[in-house]
Order: sequence, then structure tokens, then C-alpha cells
Amino acid sequence: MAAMRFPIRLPWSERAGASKLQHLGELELALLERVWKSGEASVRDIYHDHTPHLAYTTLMTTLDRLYKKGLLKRRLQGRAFYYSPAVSRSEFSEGVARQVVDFMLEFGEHPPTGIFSCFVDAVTENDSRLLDELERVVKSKRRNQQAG
Amino acid sequence: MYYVLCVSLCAAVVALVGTACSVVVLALSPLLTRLLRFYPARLRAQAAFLVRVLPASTGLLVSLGIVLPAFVLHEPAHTNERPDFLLMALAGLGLSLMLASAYRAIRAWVRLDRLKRQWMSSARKLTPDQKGIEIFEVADPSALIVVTGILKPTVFLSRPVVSCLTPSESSAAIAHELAHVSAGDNLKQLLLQATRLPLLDRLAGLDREWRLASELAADESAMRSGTPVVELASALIKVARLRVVRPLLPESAVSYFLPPGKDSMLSTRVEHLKRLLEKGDKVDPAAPVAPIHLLGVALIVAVFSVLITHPNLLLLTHTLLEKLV
Repeated sequence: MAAMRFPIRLPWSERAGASKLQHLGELELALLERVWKSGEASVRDIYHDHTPHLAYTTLMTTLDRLYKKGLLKRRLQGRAFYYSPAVSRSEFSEGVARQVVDFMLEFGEHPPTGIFSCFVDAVTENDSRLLDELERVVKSKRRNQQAG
Repeated sequence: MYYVLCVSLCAAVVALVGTACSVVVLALSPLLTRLLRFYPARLRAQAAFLVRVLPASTGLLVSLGIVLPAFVLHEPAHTNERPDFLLMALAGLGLSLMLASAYRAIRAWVRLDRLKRQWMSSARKLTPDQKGIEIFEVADPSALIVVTGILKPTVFLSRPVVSCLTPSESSAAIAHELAHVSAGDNLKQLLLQATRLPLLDRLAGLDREWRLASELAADESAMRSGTPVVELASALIKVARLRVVRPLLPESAVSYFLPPGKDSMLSTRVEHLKRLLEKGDKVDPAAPVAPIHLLGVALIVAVFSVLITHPNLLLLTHTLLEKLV
């Protein structure tokens, strides 16, 4: 199997060097766990039995994010997506273990600097707010372009 | 003994000159970083890089360009002089610095090669080559758009990125990466890593300044090559959203490689693109390429010209070296 980098929150993920590590939020991990358990589930299935109770759109967005991260597969049936795992639990664990080793080998001594240029490196909460503002401007610009 | 003395002197001069230059750069770097903010991104990136590598390159230039010829021309081959303790200590320091640089460069190269092979094992060619550079989609679940390699650069996009970007957004992101290739940024990263001095970590402020300015310059360069700023901004938003959002923690509790808030590189890029979008700022298509990267070459030429026209300088250097020994 090709070596894969799996997103996971690690104990030192807030320290220097964490930017190269992808990690999953608690909800993402919980939903991944839920899909592993059931094999396949729709947003509605999870919506009905997930505790604590969460908004339907929150679950939908989170499952979509897991799909985009390559951790879930999905198929369309009727008007609903059914999600199933794209990686097994053992593959996931293997990926995490590999990432831990990679991290220790790579960033044990120095901050993460590689000889490659990334389009986006690290994202903070403040960046996230700024991204919302930029998106607003982009949408407005696109609307103006379409109108013009 | 002749060769031991020669190597010792050259290495000691690397350590002495490199350290002295580092101290000067260290003292001036806060002011320089503030001054550079007023200049275009490309110039900022080039100036930050040049100043950052100045100590190491000056050390090598003085050692190999002045000390070595002075020693070879004026030191008798049958010398009985022995390096004293101070010279040996300085030589040890100089050799350690050079070996550490070589080790870091080789290590970075090996890691890059390993990473590239890992990605290539699941790669699928994505679009026709652009400017002779291959572009691949890789089966990696992270949000990845990178350009790797120095001699043969390659662009890699991960599957989530390919699936979430429109073709024009992908082109914009690739144009950004190609701008890094044109600027030789991967080679510069390798040199920055190789010349990092362990005791002068504050010089890392210049590394950061260079990284930030090179990202802004790559955005501007992509726009100059015809990429619409809307597509570039849109691609940045989508890719950034695929990535992790790190929570803000009290500053005393953590040390960030990329500090959060206004100092984050992404936030600076976002603000830069937002300003370009809102105010309709144009990137000057005729912005001159600052000749600052030629300064290194000019310096080498100048040193050799002076040495050729003033041969007594080498004799004077040799006399000074005798005092050092």
C-alpha cells in the first residue's frame, strides 16, 4: 500500500513543527468511528442516533470533509449520500503510527523546514476568520463580474 | 604540516568572519525587517535571503578568495609552523560549522528524495507539463499543493485538493507554485537550512521574512503571468479550509513555528489578496526584477579584481595570518 499521511491530533500538535501534521477534530474522529462500526451510514442515520444531538448540517459538513480528506467513500442513493470507510481502522492506525515516527525523525530537532514550497502551510483560528472575510470579497467580486 | 596549517587557517577564517558577520546581521536584522516592509515582495524576499546568507558566504569568500591564495603564494612549502591552541580551536569551530552545513543539506536532500518517492508511488500525471515541469495528483488525504525538487522540480496536488478546486483555481494554484520554481525558492530553502547557525537562532527572523515575502511574491508573480486574483484567492480559501485549524493558545504555553494572529503567513497572504480584490490594486506588470541577486556575483568579481590589481594585499594578508598563527 502506498504510504499515506493520515490526519490525527497528536499530543504535541500545538508545538513547533505541528504545521506538517494533519489532525482530526473530535467530531470527525467520532463520525469516522461510527462509520467503521456500521460499515455504511447516511447523514440521517447518524443524525438519529448520534449523541450529543447535533445539527443535521453540521453532520453533513463534517462527513463531507472526511470524504474530501479521503477517509470516507460515498455513494448516492436517491437524494442521500451513504458513507463508508475508505481506509480500515488498522490502515488508519498504521498511518498514524507512521506519521508519529515521521514526525519524530523529521521535526525532533528543528522546526519543520523542508526544501519544498507549499501553497498553504498552516492555518490558525484567526486565519479561518480572515478566510471568511476573503470569501465574502471573492463572492462579491464574482457577482460583479457576472453582472458586468 | 603545510596542509594542516592551510586547512586550519581557512577553517578558522570561516569561523571568525562568519561569526563576526552574523553578529552584525543579528544586530541589524530587526531594523532591516521593518524597513523591508515598505518594499515590493520580490525585493523583500531577495534582500532577506541575501542578508541571511551573507555571514556564511562572506566567511567562505574571504577564506577561499583571499586567505587561501595568500597562503599558497606566500607560505613556504617546507614550513615548520604549527597551529597553536587558539587557531586549532577556531579551525575546529569552522570545520564543525561547514560539516554541519553539509550534513543538513544532505539530510534535507535525502528527506526530499524519500518524500518524492513516497508521493510518486501513488502519483497520476494530471495535466500536460507546464514550463517543462511535471504535475501529478497523489493519493494523499491531506490538503497538499507543493513543488519539490531543485534540478527537476515537480508539482504535486493531493486528491482532496484536485477534487475541490475548479480547473481555473487549480491553474491559479499551480501558477503560484511555478512562480516559486522561477524564483529558485527550493534552492534558497536548501541554502537557508544549510547555513543555519545553532547559536544565532534570531537569524531565523530573516528566514521567516524571506518565507513570507517569497509567498507574497509568488502570488504576485502568478498574477503577473495572467492568473486572475479571484481564482488565486478562491483556491487559497478552499485549500486552507481543507487544512487543520489550530486553536489559539496563550502565548506562554506554546511556541509556534508560525505564530497565530496577524503574524501568521497565511493571514498576511489573505490580507494581501483581499486588498488586491477590494481596492482593485494591480500588480505592476513592469515591476523591475531587482538586481540584488547579482550582488553576490558582483562581490566575488570585485574581490578578485582587487586581488589581481593589488597583489600586495595577499602579502599583507599573509603577514596578518602569521600573527594569527
